[in-house]
Amino acid sequence: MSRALRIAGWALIGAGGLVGLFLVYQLFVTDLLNARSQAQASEQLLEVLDERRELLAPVSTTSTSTTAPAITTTTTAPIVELLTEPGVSAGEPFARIIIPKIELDAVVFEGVDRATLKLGPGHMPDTPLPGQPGNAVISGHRTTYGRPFFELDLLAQGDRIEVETALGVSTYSVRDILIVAPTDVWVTDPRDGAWLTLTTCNPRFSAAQRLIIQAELVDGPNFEYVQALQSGIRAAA
Amino acid sequence: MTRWQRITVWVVGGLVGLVLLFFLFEWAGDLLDSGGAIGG
Repeated sequence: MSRALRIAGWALIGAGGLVGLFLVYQLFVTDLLNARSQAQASEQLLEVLDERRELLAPVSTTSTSTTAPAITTTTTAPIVELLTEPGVSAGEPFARIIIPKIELDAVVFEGVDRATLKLGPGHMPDTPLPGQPGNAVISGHRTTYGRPFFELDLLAQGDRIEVETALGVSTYSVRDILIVAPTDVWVTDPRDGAWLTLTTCNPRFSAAQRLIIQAELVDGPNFEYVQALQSGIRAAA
Repeated sequence: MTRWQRITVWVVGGLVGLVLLFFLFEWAGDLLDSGGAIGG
């Protein structure tokens, strides 16, 4: 066998070994790193939620709040207040997302930078917190780092998504499922009502596109407020 | 080159190789799954 062939053979074996190491790292090692992060965050979340609940304004239909504008629907309708919660620091675990259909139960962190998304699903800053009116956006890995959104494509219209924050559990129902380009930031635009937008890479094992799940609030601490707000908007239109 | 110098070169070379490998894997990993954020 010539020397050139021997060298080429060893180079191919080396390249194959490198690819194998890469796959093991991406598909298994990152999962282990994420599992450790989620276990720690799960314990931390209990404390964070307790602390944040203590900071919540007392709920009363007669109280006045500087941050929660009250609206009245019609003449005799009771006052429905928007329940708000304090802002979240970057990288802090502050919520839990549960999707029964795909058996997802993960701690949500604040931020969508690379470092934060390695820990778990991340809430996009500058969008409302889950449970609030508008369009709350949560992004997550599809095939690495615990792959929280691996089976997001199995969701269909009507499937339930629950997000627990300091305010309580907000339940959303899937309305729209889209495939868009990674640059299509319009999916994060504010919307009337209360929405939750989940974003992840698509197809699996590629970051070429984004799979978007848009779900509407159907139950939770602010559901009545959002309904009243939308009735007001419809009446004014 | 003494025996200890050779060992040092191998150890340092190995560590540098591991660091480079880590960054190569991180870069290539973004092609597989960048985290799913929009606009990034």
